[in-house]
Amino acid sequence: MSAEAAALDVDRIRRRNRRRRRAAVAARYVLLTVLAVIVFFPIYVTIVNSLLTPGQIARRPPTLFPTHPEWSSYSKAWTQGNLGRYLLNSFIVTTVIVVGQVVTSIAAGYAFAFLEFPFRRTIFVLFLATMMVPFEVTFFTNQATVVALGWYDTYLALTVPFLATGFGAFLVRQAFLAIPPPLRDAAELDGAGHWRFATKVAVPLARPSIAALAVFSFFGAFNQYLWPLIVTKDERLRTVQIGLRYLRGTQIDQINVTFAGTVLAALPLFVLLLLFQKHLVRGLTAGAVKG
Amino acid sequence: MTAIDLPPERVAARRRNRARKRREALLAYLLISPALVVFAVFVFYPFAKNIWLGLYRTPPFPGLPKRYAAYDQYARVLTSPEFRGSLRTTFLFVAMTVPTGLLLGLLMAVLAHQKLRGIAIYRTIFSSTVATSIAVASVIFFTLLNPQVGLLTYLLGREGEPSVLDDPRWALVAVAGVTIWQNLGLSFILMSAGLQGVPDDLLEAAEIDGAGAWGRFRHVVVPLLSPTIFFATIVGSILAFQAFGQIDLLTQGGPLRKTNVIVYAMYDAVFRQNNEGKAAVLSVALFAITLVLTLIQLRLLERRVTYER
Amino acid sequence: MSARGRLLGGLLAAALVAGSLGACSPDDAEGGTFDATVDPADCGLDALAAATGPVEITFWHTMARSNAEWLEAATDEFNRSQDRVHVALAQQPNYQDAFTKYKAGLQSGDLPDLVQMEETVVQQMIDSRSTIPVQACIDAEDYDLEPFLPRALAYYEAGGVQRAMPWSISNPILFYDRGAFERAGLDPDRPPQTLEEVREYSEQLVDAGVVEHGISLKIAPYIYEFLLAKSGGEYVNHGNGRRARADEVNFDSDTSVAILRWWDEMVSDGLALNTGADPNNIDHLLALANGGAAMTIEASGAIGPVEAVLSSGDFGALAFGTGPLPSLEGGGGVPVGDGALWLPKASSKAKRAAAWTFATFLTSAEQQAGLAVAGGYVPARTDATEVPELVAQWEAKPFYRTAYDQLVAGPVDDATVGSLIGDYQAVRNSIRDALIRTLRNGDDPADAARDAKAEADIAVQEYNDRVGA
Repeated sequence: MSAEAAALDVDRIRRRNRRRRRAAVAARYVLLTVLAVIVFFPIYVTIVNSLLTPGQIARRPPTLFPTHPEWSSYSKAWTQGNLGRYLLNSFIVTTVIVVGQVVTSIAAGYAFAFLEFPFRRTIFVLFLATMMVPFEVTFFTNQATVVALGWYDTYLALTVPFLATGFGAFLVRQAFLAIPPPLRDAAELDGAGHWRFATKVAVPLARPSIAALAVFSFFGAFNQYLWPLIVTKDERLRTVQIGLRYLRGTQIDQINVTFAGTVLAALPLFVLLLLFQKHLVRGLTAGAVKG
Repeated sequence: MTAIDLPPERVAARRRNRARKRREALLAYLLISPALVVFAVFVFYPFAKNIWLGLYRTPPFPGLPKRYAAYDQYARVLTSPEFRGSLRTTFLFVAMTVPTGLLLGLLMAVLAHQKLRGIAIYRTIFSSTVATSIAVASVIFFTLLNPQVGLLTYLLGREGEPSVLDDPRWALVAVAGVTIWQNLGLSFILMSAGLQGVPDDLLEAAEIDGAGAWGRFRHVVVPLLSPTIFFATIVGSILAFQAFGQIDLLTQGGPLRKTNVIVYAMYDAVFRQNNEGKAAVLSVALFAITLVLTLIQLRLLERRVTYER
Repeated sequence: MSARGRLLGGLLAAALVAGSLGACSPDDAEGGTFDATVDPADCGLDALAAATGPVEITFWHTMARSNAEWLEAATDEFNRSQDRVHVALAQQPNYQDAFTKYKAGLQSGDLPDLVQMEETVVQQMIDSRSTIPVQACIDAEDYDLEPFLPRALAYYEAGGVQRAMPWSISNPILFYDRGAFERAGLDPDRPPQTLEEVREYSEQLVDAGVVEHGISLKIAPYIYEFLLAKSGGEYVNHGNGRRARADEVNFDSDTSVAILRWWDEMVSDGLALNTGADPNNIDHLLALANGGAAMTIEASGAIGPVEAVLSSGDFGALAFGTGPLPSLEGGGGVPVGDGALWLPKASSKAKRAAAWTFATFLTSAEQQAGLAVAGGYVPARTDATEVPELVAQWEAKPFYRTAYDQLVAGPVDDATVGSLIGDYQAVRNSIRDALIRTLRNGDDPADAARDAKAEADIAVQEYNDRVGA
């Protein structure tokens, strides 16, 4: 074959390869978009419908974009649906639980990692054992306990049972154990007490794990459903997840309010997700990848 | 008190040491006691109490005596058609939601792992459902499935017919669908994180060796991802066995008890039927299932660790 | 086997024996099915007479909207008319919540002195041992039960003892569109009496193109229950639970299956509109208004609201009529439904007597007439029908008396007196499921009945076992 012909062949091959690659890339985009639509469609519809009137929602073919957004559904959800109060309750309860879990986990993790005491091994196993008893197994007995303590329909009932977590202690202990021993010895030589060591060295170094724990706890506590359902009755204490239960039962002529309420209920976590995605991923995957 | 008498400085040192050790132990107990108290009251005590409760027939009204029934109640509840139905329903639910969610998560993770333009947007969308709680997802779909004005009802061509959630043939599938959707974000994040652990040079080497996308996937990605996949399967199954919120919001255990999963049956037994004894038996069954799954996971973890070594 | 093994084995065996000894025996020392002890002194009339000031009592009721207003007015009248008893009302959202709250109160002590409960909880109220049978007060005061309708009293009587006083009773009747009847060539003054006639009428209505379906039916278990009673069928065994505690349901009896089959064939032949199992849904009533159907079955208490909506002009002036509930062969009797008054034991003797006094006020002829006029309820006593208020209403709107006539007519036997079941709700759920299986899944009615019976029997026996048989 002549040099010219060979050059043309190579060209043709190169162009074909580029076409193939572009087709492959296009195919990938198509697949990605299809999946993204499936995932996002319900959220999209929720947001759109929260801005339509019930009449528009019922119209067929369905309205896909709010040309005249009706923000009144949000104010109705906030006032009539009382979602403002519910969100406040959710935040209060969640914050208390997160702080509680973080503090007790740091405390316990520190003890397990740096202190020697009798039965340390056994007690640590006990902590781990709590991870094997899911909450759904003990919920009704716990409810009876809470009623007997006189905590029914109080913030105490919503928060106290969750102030500690075996997973958290495990995670923090892990992080503390990863601190290089020389650092520890240096602190000891410096005459630093436990408090100084903890606050100046251990906790700062374990911050990624602790942050992950905090975010993970936040999501868990914010999304609780069964427990708030059975230990609160009064509207004053209702959390936003239970508030959704009542919003769901509304008539068709308030359907946009239901959607607005849903958006309001999910908004805090969306914001958190955007801000703390890294920490959330770390918290969720702890134990999955590294073991 | 050793047989050999030590010089006084050594004795003093030892005493100081013991005192220090005692202080350390006290500090440790102080640090772990809040957590231990919480666990004792809200984990260990109810766990034991449940086992004990299962031994007594609960009267329908407070004030009437509990009747000791030994294993009779355990046997009765565990062989009852209702329990068998619950078990079947729950297993079906787990079988529907866990593999599907995992596969979809894996698919999305693999697709989003590429270096394409704007891939970050796709990644955000794929993980977006992690911000929805099960209550949020359930209310969204409940409204979308409204027989009169629900958009999904319209798309499914079921307008005017009773809701899918009221249909004994499709109710569980619908509930599973909602669950899968809500879990997609978490599944995607888990699989993506796992994919980070797959070294790029291995993939490149496979590509050079002539492996196509599918081949690379099968022979490189999957084996390296298997720990993550196992973890996701076990944890996903454990969580799926505990499903409650979506049942309460969408179908309340019906129609015809087709969505009466174990936790909902427990809830119904306690709060509708006042039958704590029965709920206690169910809780022990649930614990046993969770235990088995957890032990499987621990065993697999052990094996993987030794394998890696 | 080691010594320890033998010891464990022995303990195990002992535990098993102990466990089986605790099992249920038919005639417990706790008094069999119905505790028949009645002590007039329990009514506490002496304590009330000896009280120095007005005795305060609370009444938990489930009246809503206009009925609640009527009750408030009646209570005010009672409070003003004398100074020995003062009544405070506490409205409950519905029967279900009221019963839940009552059960919770059994533990917490938060109980009323008089409570309105629906008809399905009679056996449970007896088993809870938390009330004084009204028989105690009836005996103490020598209260005259003569004017009361026999079946109204009999429903709340067990083991020869009157447990509660019937108060806000109702039963389901047939509602129909007179105009549609006329247009189809049917006599608007002669509603169908048998299930077969309902079918014939429906065929004529549909063939004439007047309506889409002859009748609209909700999947509501109580409709089945009343059709069954009117057709002479017993819901559960042992004389509908009245001779001895029921331990099996009778879903598979010929009468029951015949009714289910009628229902099934009406729906599958397009003669009946099935409006589903949602208890809050009122599509079956709306169907009358929009040409979906010409007949429906609904509780008599709904007359007021139905009249208001259907003739409000929104749906074009609909002239509707009412007729007795149809039955397999026509005729028959119905038990009572809705509310009765119970006296909780937890109250002091003076409060019990005070509550009884208020109860006799509420069940007096004038008040029964007033309640009937205000809420479409059925007066529980014959002399209420002579009160001018009620006479006037029945004259102006004769369809208001259908439910009363239906309660008076027919025999007094185990079928028409109504059933006593411990876990009533579970049995209702099973019938509802049988209807769903038949109407939606296309199961054969006999098979669906048998499957539902299997479920319901377990639930009934479970309750009996938990209560100590």
